[in-house]
Amino acid sequence: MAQSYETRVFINCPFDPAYRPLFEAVTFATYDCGFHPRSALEVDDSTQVRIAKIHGIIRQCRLAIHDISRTQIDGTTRLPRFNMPLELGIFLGAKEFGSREHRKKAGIILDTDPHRFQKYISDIAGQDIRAHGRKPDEAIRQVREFLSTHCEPGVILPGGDKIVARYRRFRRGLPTTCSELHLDPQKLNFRDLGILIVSWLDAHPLRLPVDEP
Amino acid sequence: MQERLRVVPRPPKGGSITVAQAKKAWLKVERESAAKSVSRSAKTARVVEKDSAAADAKPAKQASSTKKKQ
Repeated sequence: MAQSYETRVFINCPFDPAYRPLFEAVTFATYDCGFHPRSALEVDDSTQVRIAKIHGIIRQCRLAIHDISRTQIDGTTRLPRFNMPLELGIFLGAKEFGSREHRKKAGIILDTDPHRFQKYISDIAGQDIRAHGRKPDEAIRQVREFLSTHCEPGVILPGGDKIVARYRRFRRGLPTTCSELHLDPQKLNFRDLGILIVSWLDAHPLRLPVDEP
Repeated sequence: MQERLRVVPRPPKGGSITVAQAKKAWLKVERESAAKSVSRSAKTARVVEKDSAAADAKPAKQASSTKKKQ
């Protein structure tokens, strides 16, 4: 299925190692729901200013998943990192001030708990804010519920628990499969992660109940 | 309106591997894992059978030696 504005999802999530399990879970769930995840990680072009990459991706995506759960004080610098809230703001700005196409933008905001945002970014009250409790399984369920409201009519998605089970199977086989392909599962770039996910989904197709023996 | 399953999207272009290579690797790893699992189950079944046979033989021996003493 070719990418289109309607099927692209901007994954606005942290990139640090501690968040990696959630990032991979969100990326897997996005693919398993039939959407194209996009991330600033996909472009390794040091000649391009990072914010320009972000603008380009937001321009191309109707949907977005913003995870602001890592907006917390850094132990070393004693300062919070604001990249995710900044990119959320750019997305909301595009939705508000953009053309008719951009006004169709929609996103969810993920955080560790549903009310934490009130203490540090209360302007987003009224947006779709969901909690994952730092658990990949819960992040998958929230992503699935969000994307299910943006599918074409008549399209069947696997349920949240089904995607969680599929993701766990994917994770179990990942180390050995990476070894087979001479890749390090701890250091997969965004493109290789996407290829591994899509190839797993191709190898484990879903079936409609009526199709099962 | 006919319902249909969602279609798996294609990944971004580029990358160190192709989808075909990765799919082949997944299937190979799963075949090997399934084969190991079958082999382990067969081995466990043989051990259980051997233990069961040994347990059955013991009372028969004891009964035979008790009878001799009598």
